Amino acid sequence: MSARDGTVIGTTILQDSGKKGFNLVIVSEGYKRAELPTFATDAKDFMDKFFMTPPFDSHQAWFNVYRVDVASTDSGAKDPAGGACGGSGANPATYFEASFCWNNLPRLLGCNSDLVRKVVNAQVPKWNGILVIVNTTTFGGSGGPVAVFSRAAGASEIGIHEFCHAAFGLADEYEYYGGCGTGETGHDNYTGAEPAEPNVTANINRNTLKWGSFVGRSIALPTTVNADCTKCDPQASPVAAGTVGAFTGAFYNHCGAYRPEFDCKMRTLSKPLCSVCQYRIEVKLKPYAPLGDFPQPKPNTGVG
Amino acid sequence: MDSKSREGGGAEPTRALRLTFSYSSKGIHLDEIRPLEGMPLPPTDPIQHGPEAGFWYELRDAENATLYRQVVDNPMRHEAEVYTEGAPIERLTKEDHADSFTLLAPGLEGVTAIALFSSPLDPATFGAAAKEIARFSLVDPEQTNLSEQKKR
Repeated sequence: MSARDGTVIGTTILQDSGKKGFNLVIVSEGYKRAELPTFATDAKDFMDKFFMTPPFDSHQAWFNVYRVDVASTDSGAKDPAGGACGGSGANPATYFEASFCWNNLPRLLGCNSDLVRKVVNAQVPKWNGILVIVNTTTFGGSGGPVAVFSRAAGASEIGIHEFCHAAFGLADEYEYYGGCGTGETGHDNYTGAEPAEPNVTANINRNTLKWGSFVGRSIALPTTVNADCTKCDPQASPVAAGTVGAFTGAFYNHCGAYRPEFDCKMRTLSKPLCSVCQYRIEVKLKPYAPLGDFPQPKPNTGVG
Repeated sequence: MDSKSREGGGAEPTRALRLTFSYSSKGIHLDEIRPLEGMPLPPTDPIQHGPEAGFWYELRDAENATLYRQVVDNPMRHEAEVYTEGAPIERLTKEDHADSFTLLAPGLEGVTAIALFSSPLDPATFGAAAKEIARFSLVDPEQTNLSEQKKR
């Protein structure tokens, strides 16, 4: 444990929506005490970005946001040079031991999530979601119970993507495992059971499709077909952005699994969340809404 | 499976439990139950369902009826999403399969146990229908994994 490599300074409420709100906690890692004002700015920037992202933009008042200041002895994150890591060799002493090549996976930026949880349990016991900002301008991050991302431009999208996994049970919508150009095998056709997650499916029966109520009668199912299931589908969307259907290729498979829209943040970091993901989030956030501020009910079958 | 669900009810119990689990190749252990007063939780996912792949947890009563179900991202996955600037997300398999995670359970009346369901963790077979992998008493937390006890 590296708690000796720094100090927990304390917690600041960035947004107070009342007792009932969803408690989002932003934690610093790899910021020296003198750099905590930079973290305060980074946390505020993230919060602003988060609340510009639909559907969170419409429900800002459903959240409490806390900033937990933790000062580290040194700045940045470890970046091991040896083996497959190929990093710079940087080895700062930081409170949560943030490091690239986490779990010996090149480029994966992780930290001691157990220790993060212990700190947050003490600071904000009723937390719902935790995001850790690591003080490095190298792009990176990781997921799991705690979302981790660097302060590089665009890395906050990692935080939002991973937060959507952890807090709302959303699945990945991309159609490969290691990458489209890797020649990987075993990802041609999904033949497994219906995924429990609300935003991917193996069932495109119009009457029982889990997001069927979002699909217009004129939309073909499947909406796209991959002509070569040994590869990722290279075709452009045949329908307007935002159209809900059943697009072939999702859940780490080129065929046999479908996603609701052509693109989504659960597929491509820079894209908006698709409307099915947004609806799932709204349903799960409903208990945190102030009285009288509920999403409009939709006659869905399984998205919520 | 019997069900007394409050499906879609969005019930707002005044008490929640934060459950901390650890896992390794030896199994899953419930390490801590932390009560949290006045904490709302997300509504249940559909209780009635066919065979499904993924990970979820269920709260059961003394008659083994499911009172609450929550689908979550599998916290014990053997792989991680790796990010490179300007490139698509990729997945890589982790070497270390031991870690911990937390789950939130509403303090519903009558709940006696939590059951965890998961598809196989091997990425090659992850789409297989999930099965119960562990069950823990919430009445007597000193009891270890009830699923393992049942097998013995």
